[in-house]
Amino acid sequence: MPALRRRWNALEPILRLVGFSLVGLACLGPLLVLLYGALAALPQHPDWLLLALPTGRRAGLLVNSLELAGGSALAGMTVGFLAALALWRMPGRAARLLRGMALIFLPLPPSIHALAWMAAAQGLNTLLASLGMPEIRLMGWAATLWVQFMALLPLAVGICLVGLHTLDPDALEAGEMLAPGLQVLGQVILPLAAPMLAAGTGFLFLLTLVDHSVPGLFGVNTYALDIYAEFSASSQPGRALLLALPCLVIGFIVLAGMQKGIRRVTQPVVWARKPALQMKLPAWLEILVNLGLGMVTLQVVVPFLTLAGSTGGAVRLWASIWAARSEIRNTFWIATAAALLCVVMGWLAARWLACTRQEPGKAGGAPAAWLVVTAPLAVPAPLIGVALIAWFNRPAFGPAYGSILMPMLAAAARFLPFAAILLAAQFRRVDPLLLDAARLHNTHPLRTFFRIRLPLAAPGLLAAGVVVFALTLGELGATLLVIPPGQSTLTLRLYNYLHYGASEEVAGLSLLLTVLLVAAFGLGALALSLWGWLQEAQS
Amino acid sequence: MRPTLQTVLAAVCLLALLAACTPAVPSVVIYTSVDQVYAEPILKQYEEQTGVRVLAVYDVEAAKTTGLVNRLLAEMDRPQADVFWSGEFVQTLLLKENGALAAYASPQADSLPAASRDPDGCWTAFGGRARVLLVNTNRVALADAPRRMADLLDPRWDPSRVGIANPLFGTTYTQAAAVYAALGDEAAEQFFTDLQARGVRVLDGNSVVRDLVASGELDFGLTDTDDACGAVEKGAPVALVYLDQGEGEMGTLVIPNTVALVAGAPHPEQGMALVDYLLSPEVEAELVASGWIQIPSRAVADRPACPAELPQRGMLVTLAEIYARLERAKTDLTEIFLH
Repeated sequence: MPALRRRWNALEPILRLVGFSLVGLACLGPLLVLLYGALAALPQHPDWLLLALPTGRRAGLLVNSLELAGGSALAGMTVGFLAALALWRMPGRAARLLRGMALIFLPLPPSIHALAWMAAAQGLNTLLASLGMPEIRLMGWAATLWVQFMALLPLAVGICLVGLHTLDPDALEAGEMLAPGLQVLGQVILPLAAPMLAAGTGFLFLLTLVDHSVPGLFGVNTYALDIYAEFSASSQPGRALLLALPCLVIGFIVLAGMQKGIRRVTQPVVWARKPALQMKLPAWLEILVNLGLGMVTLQVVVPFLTLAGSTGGAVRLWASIWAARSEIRNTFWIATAAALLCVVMGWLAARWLACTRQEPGKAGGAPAAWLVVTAPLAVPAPLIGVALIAWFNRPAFGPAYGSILMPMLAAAARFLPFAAILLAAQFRRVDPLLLDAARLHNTHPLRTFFRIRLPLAAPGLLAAGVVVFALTLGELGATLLVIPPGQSTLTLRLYNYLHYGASEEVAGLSLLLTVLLVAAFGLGALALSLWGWLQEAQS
Repeated sequence: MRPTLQTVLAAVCLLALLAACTPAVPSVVIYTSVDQVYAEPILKQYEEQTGVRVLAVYDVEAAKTTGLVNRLLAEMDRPQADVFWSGEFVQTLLLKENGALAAYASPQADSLPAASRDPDGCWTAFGGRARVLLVNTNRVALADAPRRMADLLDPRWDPSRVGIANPLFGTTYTQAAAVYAALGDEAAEQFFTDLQARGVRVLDGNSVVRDLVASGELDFGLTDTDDACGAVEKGAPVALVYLDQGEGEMGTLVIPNTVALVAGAPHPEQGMALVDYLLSPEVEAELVASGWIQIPSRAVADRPACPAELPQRGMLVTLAEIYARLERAKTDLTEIFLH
């Protein structure tokens, strides 16, 4: 066994290098493929370089985008924090249920949120008209900001909840003893959660920056719309990439700024031990906290009621679901395969993030590694699709291109960062003494892996798989470009019906997406509980 | 006896071998921007008639027409599709310009007007939709509705109740280029500048224009006949108006379907057979009956109730002339509408 251990020790750095290279390739590959294409075209089209400079009209559009992204992110995180504070302080099972409900519409595409709010506004206007009151016009900046904020709210609440649960309970309890209520919030909770809240704000900012669907629906011009107009008219990914360069640069700056917060996720999440806080807040803040909770409720109730009310009845709903059975099957397999791939690649990525030198009390991982792993978050989805075609549509890849493998790869290329971050967080929770003990006992490396590493990482693997599965359910931009002929997904079908104007089908399929998501989260939560119960029983 | 790992692996290998030995069903791959709800029954019928499996990829409006055309261009070195069937012609001409289409003179094209055939044989146009003004008749009496495109600038209309889809995308972009071809660059630029200055609502797509006119949030808006007829069939208080039908006016733009064989198609024979089928009078009649085509290229016995009438005066510009104005239109419209 010592000989085997020695051989393994010699081999491990090489395997690790190969693994990290694979992760780097998966995260940066699409961007590099596009960059190569753009640079190769520059000698023939030197004027393309001007696209990368946002001057005149484009500078104005960029300012629009920055304002919208900044506004949505700040509003989302502020209200999200207030709501999360309410949910965090809430005791018992009801809180767990409410937390789950707050996150239900997380993967629903923002344009479906927009349609739900448009339908709700229409209903309200009918009521207002019957009362002889002026109607509300859901258009322009205010409408865009509102819908974008509402669509991002579940994510904001989720991030804030993670931020609150990563706080050190001892520090909070000590703070509560010295200065209760508002001072604990202002002097302990907020400063401790600040990196996470900043990372969340950056993440919401990025999501709004690359989205053109909601602003487009409400007549607001943004830089993302300009990129799509260029891509649509020229069909040149190189031109689109150069035009997107200012957004990408901003995206990378934001990602770099988010690093501290993202790495904070890798601090142990103390779900099990919640600090015993009284947290007596002043009345005005209690009102704000409850208002935040009210907004979250609104974000769930309005889309749900609008969608449920538009399905055309149970028979019609069943007909919509039955007609989409092959898309449901495809979506399930694609999402499952993407989740599995992201879990495997995420493992490698998380090892990379966790293996670099760590200082006591600080979250680990080299900033460069974090930047590489989170890079896909800044790349628009259609560009990832185009890059995958350029990459995989070669004889060397044989029938893999044109198979269901491609949409699975597209989803994995987009959502790997989420899996990596969750797994890195899980690795930080593993007691290194257990691994050292296995090493000291010269256990077979595979045995160590299957008997120690894998069981310890299981909750993280499950969480990463469920999150990637949920996000893949709503993927459209990259899937459209690589879906194999003769196949479709639930989201593709939904968007196809959107143009046809079949609102019953759109509502039915949106509800189905939500149900699938709830099922995925529910099963994930159940499996996590079972795992925890098994661990407890064993110990 | 419990199955060992070896037994399971052997069974899997056997199944894989059996699957590989199954005689391959002939297939053809089509990329289409025609709405799935219209295209799918036609393609299924072809499967039933010929036994050839049709593998389709459908586009979605949310992709802003960047979807399948970009995919075809990206796949040019190793094409996967055999046939491209578009609900319009601009993207088809773009594909031809980039060398993504192959020449194929379908015998079915003989019954179509000469202008429907590409001089190089790279595409064939048939049947289509017209650009139309959809009017909410609860808000505006049909007799008072605009009759010319220029009437959209009339100060008597509240601009916030007039809608167009974003003219940088889709068929509204094509219509804008057609206006450039018909009026000349300067006059067209002035028209769109005035339209924007008036503050008409620029919406995300033709279906949004349709929905807002149908709901009464807009008095009227420009859209396609298929969208407009969808609202009529749902019983919305709307009516269709073909603009510029008078003597000396520019006429209504009809946007035909286009069908093309992809250059380097993996199944060229099957591709040609599918092109022939799609261009057949029977398929055109079925697409008219289903509501995808409102302006047929050939005489059709049974036309649906919508549209009640066909435009009397089409635009007197060729598809190539419209295509030639796209670049100028895009440059101007980006400056005018996207800031």
